[in-house]
Order: sequence, then C-alpha cells, then structure tokens
Amino acid sequence: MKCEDCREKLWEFLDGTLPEEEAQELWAHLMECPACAEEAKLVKDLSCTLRDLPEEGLPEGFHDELMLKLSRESKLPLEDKTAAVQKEGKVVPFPKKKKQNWRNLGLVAAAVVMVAVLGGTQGLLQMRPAQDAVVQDMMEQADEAQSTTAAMDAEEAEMDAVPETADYKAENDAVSSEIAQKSRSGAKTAVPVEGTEEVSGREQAETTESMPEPQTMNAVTAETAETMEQADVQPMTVSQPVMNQPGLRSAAPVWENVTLTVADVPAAMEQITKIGTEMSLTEVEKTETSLTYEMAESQKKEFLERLQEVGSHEADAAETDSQTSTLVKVTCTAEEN
Amino acid sequence: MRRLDKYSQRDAVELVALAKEGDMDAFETLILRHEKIVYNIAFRMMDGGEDVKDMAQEVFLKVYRNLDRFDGKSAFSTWIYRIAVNTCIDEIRKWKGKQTYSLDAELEDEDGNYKKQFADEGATPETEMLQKELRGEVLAALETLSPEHKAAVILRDIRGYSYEEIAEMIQLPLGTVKSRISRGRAQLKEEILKIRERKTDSSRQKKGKEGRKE
Repeated sequence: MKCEDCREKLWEFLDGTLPEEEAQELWAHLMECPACAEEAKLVKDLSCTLRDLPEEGLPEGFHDELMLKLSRESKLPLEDKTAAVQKEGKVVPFPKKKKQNWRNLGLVAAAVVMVAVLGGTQGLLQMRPAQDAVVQDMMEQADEAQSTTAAMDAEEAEMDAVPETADYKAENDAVSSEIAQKSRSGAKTAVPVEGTEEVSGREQAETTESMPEPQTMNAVTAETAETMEQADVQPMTVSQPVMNQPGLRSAAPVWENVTLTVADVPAAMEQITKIGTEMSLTEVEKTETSLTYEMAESQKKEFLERLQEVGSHEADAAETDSQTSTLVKVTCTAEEN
Repeated sequence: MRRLDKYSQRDAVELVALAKEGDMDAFETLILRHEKIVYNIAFRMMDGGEDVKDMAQEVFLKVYRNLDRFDGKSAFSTWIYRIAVNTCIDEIRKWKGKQTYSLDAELEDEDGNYKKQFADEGATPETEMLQKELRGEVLAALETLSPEHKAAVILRDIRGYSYEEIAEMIQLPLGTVKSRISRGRAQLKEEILKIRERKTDSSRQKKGKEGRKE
C-alpha cells in the first residue's frame, strides 16, 4: 500500500468502517511506515477529540422561549398559550449521541509499537512519544467508555429537570434576545420588533415579525406574503414603531436565494433559462452562475419543483395563490465530484 | 398526570400526524425529543456564538411552518437535522464576507491560549491539559471550515451518523457526502498543524522578548 492510499483510508480504518481486507493491508503498511504511523496518531487524536466533544446543555429558558415563539406563530387562543408556557418537569428520553466502534485503535497502537521495534534505534527515538501516548490511550479506552456513559446520563438527568420559569421572564427573555439580535448589526435589516406589552404590541409585532430580510430563509411562507400585503395597505403600522431601526425596508419585495447543486453549471443555466421562459417569468438579473427571476408567490412552488429537475436544492415554497411579487435568485454550484 | 405524559410512548409518526392536525402537545413532545441535538448541531455549526439559541429556535419554527411538507419518506429526525444544518449554513452564508476572521485576534489571548468556548477550570493533570489543548485546537480549526464541510464533519465525526444517514440528511449523493467529509477532515488536520506552528512561533518570539528584557 502506498502512503497516499493509507492516509486516505486512515479515518475509516480508525472508526472501523474500512472493509476487513483493506484494514489488514493498511495495518501492514502502518507497521513498516513510521511517517504514516505518526499520521495515524494525529488522526486518532483528532477523531477522538471530535467524538468526545462535550454535549452542550440547553441554555436556561430555551424551551419556554421556543414555545412562546411558537405560540405566537400558531396564533393559539390565549388559554392554550398560557398552557404552552407553563412548565412542568418532563421526562422525555433524549436520543443519545451515536458512539462508534473504535475497534482499530488497538491496531494502531500495535503498529506504532511494531514500527518502534523494527525501526531500530533511529525509529525508536522518533516514535517513542507517539507510542507512549497511543499505548496510554489504549489503556484508558475502557474506562473512558464507561465514564462517558455515566456523564451523559447525569447530563440528561439535569436536562430533564428544567427549572420553572415565570411567564413574564420568558417573555422578557424573548424580547431581549430579539433586541440583542437587532443590535448585532445595523446591516441586518427588518429584524423582528416586539412590543413589551403583549396585547398592544401584538399587531405591530405580527406585521414586522415576518418582514423579509434582503435574503430570506429558504422557507418563505404564505403568511409572509399575507403580511406583505398588510404592510402595503398600512405602511404606518410598520414604519412607526420601528422608525429608529437602521436600514429597515418596509414592503420591499421578498428576496430568496436558492443554491442549486448541479453537475454542469452552463448546462444548468440553460435549463433554468428555459424554465423561466416557459413559465413567462421576468428575468431581473443574470450572471455567469446565477439567474434572478421576479415571480408571484403562487408561481414559486412550481418554479422550485422544476428546479429539482436541474439539480438539487433545499428551497421550499408553500402552496399559495398570493400574487405578491417575489425575487428568486438561483445560484448554480458545481457538484464536488 | 403531567400534560405531555400521554405522548411519552407515542412514536414520531403518530406525533407528527397529531401535530399536523394542530395538536401542540404532540408537537411539543417532538421538540423535547430533538431540541438538545438540534441545539448541539447549531452550537457546533455557529462555533458556539451568541446566535446559537436563536438559530436552534428558528429551526423548530421552520419545522412547524413546514410540517405539512414532511412526507415521511425519511425519518422525522433526519428531516429536522436537515433543516438544522441548512438553517445554519444559510445564516453563515448570509454573514460571510461581513466578518473578517483573524484567528490570532479572536481566538487567542495575549499568551496565545485559545480562549473561545473554554472556561478555565483551574489546574488540571497533564493529560487533561493536553486533551484540553487539543480540543481547543480542534475547535479553532473547525471554525475555519466552509459551512458545508463543517456540517459534514459535525454529522460524521461529532454526531457519529453513517454516510448513508448523512446523505439522506443533506440530500446529496453518497459520493459527494464522502468527498465532503474527507475534504473537511483533511482541512481540519491542516489547520491544526498550522495552529501548532503558530503556537511554536509565538512561544519562540516570547522567549526572545523575555531574553532581551533580562
């Protein structure tokens, strides 16, 4: 086996997904190549470190805040909303992080030792620190597996006991997080604005909440279009409470970026142009790798579906009959293979 | 009886069906089953930045808005994690170019220690110190990956999903997934070697300065 092949397969070798025959070849190579054995040590350290990165606990109030945001979204009746933010200690098992079977780690250790033995004084001196580290790792392996499980169980227990949070606290958190989001940069336009009083601020909040940013997330819902129309009719509702928000655009067209992964960019561009013509869409902008079309919300779903024939993308559109204009920019990127 | 206990034994398919009919308790049960993993995916994708919480919550808002479009072809968890990864990639892309990355300025303090994402837990035995240092290097290196490569490494090497599962999650052919993972890993390794080199350089410089003082 060549060093190049060996390095390519090291990760798979280490996590036990390399077929047996190749694994044996690779092992044989590691035994006679100190450089690759050294590399194996680095890769092993890396993959173990990635695998063992600690799981982060949810920040306090995460769930309550999320349920509050959701209840706003779903426009539940008030009593349900109250219920949604009432906390109870819930016992729901979290799926565990999958742990891999690192069956070949022992082989690496063995290979490093073998190289050290076979490689004479020179090899021995070079390999010594790596060998020590690997052998020590091997000895710790069993303990580690046990303690990880224990730690995870403890963590889960902790997670299950979500502290009680008063409604107003969750509300304040939600508000302050939105403020924080806003202040992050003046360049980010049309950030959600929420009144501090739920009832009086509600109408404004709804109007501004779904205002598009220059580049909206992929999922633009029918609701956005609806809100856009509202904003057209009552521009004051939007601009008045958010006057001091730098860069806010009221009633700007919805922008959507679609990244299309294709095998052949020029061919894909042609296909997209054809779709645009067939659907009689207005071409707004064209570059070598991107096309921007203006279309009604109601056309977007069909357009995105037809794009799937050209390449793969993640964008999605809701079924709607809204005629609100929207701009969809399709950028083609070549598949990596 | 606790409000959500009635659903504790239900599987995802049943819960999704109920949630589609507007049952918020069913949807909340689904959230509870996935919020920690979604948060952790977002945490790693966003390098533990201040927007992790918002991103993770945004994922569930999107899941909620698009629930009708979940067709059950893949597992619900696969679908959620796909949305999680894509939401983060979109966000990173949106900010790309607006922030300039300087590893030295943002990640290292004056002594050249990697400070981000770590709380100093005081004196630790040597092996733990080494592990901590390695973890610091790995996290700093992760930050330099493109969001797509980072996602591939996170799903494979941090979360431990199989190539097939990841291909389903990010909806790309198996070959593309494999190549992303291997490129991500290769870059990660290169970055770590660079970081180590920089560390050696700066400690050499420091020693030089001290030498001059004396």
